[in-house]
Amino acid sequence: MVHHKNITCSFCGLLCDDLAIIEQNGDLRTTANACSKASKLFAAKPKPQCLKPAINGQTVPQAEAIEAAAAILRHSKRPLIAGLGADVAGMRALIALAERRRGILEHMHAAGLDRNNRVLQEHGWINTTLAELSNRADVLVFIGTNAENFPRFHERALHSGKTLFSSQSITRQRFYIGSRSAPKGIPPNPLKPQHLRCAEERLPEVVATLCALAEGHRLEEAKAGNIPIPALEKVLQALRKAHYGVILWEASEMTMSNSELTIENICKLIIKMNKSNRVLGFPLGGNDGAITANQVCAWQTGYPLRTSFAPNYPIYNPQLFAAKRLFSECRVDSVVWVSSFNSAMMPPPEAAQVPQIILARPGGSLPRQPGVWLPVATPGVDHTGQAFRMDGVVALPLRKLRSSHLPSVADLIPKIIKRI
Amino acid sequence: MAAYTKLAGGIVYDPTNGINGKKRDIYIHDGRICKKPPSNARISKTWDLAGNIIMAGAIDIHTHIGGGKANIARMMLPEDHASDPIAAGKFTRSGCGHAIPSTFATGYRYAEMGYTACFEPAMLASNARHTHMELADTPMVDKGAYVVLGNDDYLLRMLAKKKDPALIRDYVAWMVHATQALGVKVVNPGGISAFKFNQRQLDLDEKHVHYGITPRQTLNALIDAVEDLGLPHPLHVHGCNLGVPGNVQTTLDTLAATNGRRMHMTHIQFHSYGTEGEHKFSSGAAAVAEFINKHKCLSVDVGQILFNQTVTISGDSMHQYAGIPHAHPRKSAILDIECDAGCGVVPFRYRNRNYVNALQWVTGLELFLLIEDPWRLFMTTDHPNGAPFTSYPHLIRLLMDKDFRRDMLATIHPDAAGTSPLPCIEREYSLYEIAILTRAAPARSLGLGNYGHLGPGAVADITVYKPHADRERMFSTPEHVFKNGSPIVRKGKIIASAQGQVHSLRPEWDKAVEKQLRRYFNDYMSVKMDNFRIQDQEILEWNSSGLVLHECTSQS
Repeated sequence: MVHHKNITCSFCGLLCDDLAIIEQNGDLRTTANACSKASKLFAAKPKPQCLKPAINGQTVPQAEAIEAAAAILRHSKRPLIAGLGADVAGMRALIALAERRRGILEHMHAAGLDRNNRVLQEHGWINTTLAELSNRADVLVFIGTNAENFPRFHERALHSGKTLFSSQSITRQRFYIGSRSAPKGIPPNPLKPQHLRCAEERLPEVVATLCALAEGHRLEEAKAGNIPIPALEKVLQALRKAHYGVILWEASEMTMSNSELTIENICKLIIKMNKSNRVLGFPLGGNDGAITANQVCAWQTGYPLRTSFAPNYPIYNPQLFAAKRLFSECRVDSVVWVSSFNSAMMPPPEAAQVPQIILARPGGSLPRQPGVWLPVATPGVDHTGQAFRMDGVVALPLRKLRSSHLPSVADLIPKIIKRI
Repeated sequence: MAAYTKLAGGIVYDPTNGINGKKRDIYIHDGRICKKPPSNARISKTWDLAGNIIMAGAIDIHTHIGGGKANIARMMLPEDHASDPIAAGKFTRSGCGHAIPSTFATGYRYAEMGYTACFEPAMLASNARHTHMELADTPMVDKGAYVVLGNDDYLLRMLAKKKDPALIRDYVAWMVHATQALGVKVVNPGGISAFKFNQRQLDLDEKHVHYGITPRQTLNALIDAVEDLGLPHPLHVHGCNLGVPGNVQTTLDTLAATNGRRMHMTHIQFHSYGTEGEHKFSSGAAAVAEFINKHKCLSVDVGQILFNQTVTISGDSMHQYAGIPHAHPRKSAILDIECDAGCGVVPFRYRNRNYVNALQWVTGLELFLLIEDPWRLFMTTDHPNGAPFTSYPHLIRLLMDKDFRRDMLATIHPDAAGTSPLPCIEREYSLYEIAILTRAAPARSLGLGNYGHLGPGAVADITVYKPHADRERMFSTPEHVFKNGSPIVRKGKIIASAQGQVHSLRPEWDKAVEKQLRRYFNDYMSVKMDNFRIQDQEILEWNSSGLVLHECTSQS
């Protein structure tokens, strides 16, 4: 039995690194600081039949599966390298594969990533990181999210414990704009969170209204997105008075039309408010290695994700290289799907129209999809590695908690490349 | 016994060993330069380099090539990259170039210009792992990074509480270890932190609203710590008031604050502006150069601007924020980072017909030409802030060719040219001086005794140029580049890949400092201390060529 301390959990973008885990005969049990998602994913045990490579559901030796994967890629003119749930080393290998086969790189959460990437390219932002937020933020405005996709976010970022710049605990004023209210069971705070309820599809209107009010415009309407204007004025007043105001959004949850414009408006509002006092943005996200994939892609190719190697060099076109569109326009002829953190994340149904190679953490059943199945080790569980947190600044080490016979993505991809 | 390689008959410029344009044979054995071998030794390869110029591989002491802000800039500027695609080759990976190239392209383009070592000057402690992962993917060159301190709450808190300098020294040493740094840099001392408290400027003797300490105090403490620890490279300083008209006085005060201690002041061009003339913006280069000339403990790099589109990336979030209205194209990213640091990314286009930009160009060249001792002056454009590093050959020509310089001067805003002493400066850099600026001096300043020269024992990083009257052309396309004795470039093109090593320091320190630090990380930081620290093993896993550790000679 081995007790592991200060373990990084790579199962969401928050990358908590304070977990305690007991390992016994290869089984893992979290004993401290694990959320429900972490407990489940550290403890998850694969079914024995999933531990073996397979072709169309038939177990085969690994060499045979590698050969079959190489054969698919050899004949593929434009593979889609997707999913991209990997650590830094895995991502390095996947980019090398994409370059070698002139493929296209797309993360499973690319839609959200891409919204933020394009706002950065169109306008830019003033953002902050987790430790600043937890030590300084006294006014928080959640737009279209309550951060529940990151179960320990409120506990870690908005705690009422000691902070660096205030002798007492910070009184944090919180607003939740959208359909979701403050999550239950968050640490106590003297100020009751305010919920400004509106439907998701009305968020663009609400955010645009906030911008207009911040610019000093007077509006004729009494409400925006069903929220009374005075309530929005109150949000702005709180931000204007804040020592350190933070506006949070989660791009992958902003699926309504004009979502990108809405994020851009949030960023414009923030830049506007900085003329008088400090207000910062905090984009939530980064599950399944999304930020890791985006970062490694950017430094190795010069572009964020949704990058193609079709001309033997990287080209970037976020509209064209979205998986949905690529499938609907039949622009790719094979798929390499990678999900090394979570066995539940499988290729979208449209992928069935082309041969599939699936490299994923083994789970409860073999993937239903036909094609080549190559189970892989989980970074931070079966092998060491590195991953990026949602704020894109902090990269943390992932540790090996048990011995595993499964290859990592970084082990396996070069073997496939070699056989192409 | 392994065989020898001979580079025969080249004209050698090796300032470290006092060789100024002499015909010499150079021998390489096992990746190092060696003495002439015994007559019975086997020479497996002789390169006939008669008529060629030989220098050590060039070293860039200050170039923002890796880490968070470089990567934000990459993500932000697809339009800039699309104009400069780089295809995968037999030995090379694909990528893209111009303002802030992809990591592979960075390594290739440096090597293609004869550079064999590059140092990232602004590694934020909380972003150190990221920085090192990018450097690991930057091939061809040796590399390292300076950790940025002086806006980190832990240090400012210690200064505010007037803690024992020994504790500060141990903390600095711990940070150097934890981030695998080759030096220590300070950026706008205390100012980046002050911006988080909504302070919009912080001059050298102005108090930080929260800690009540001044940049001068922070600077003094860090200079002392670096000197006490015996770090080879002096404190690397990006001063207060970057880009602000009239900042030359702050710069002179900052230089004077050293009181005989060593200090390196970086991209000093951006800190040498007066307020004279009808534009209320003038060059303060003469005063700065005069001060540098008189004080032998100081060194500087210039941060020359050149006219083109680029992107400014800096840890100085306070002044990058102020630069947002000047962004071209109109976009920017500013970050507050982990109660530790900040950053700002603002794309910028320097125009020769714009008075301010023209004056910046003039100021940089004046500094190059008025500072007398090339051993204390390094050639930089503060890549990519003044210009992308690929502009170095052009800059060398500006320094070596006064007629060319005057031709260029005639193309810029007349008011900037008219007030400058530049037209009257006859100085032209010699090849020997260029070798000092780009090889010998940076190696010496960084304490890299086996680099930047061609004497026995030196790492065989060697660049061979075919002489050409057009120095830009000559320095753009070396005939040969050798890395660790192996040829990697021929006629300015990569012919083999290389990895390059990572350099980091190992100062001595009292382990007791960890007790307090561990508590601080647990109570306030968003990561655990043990996870913050970069293990040697991580660096080794990313860099097949390994980690070179440099000891320090503690002064206490």
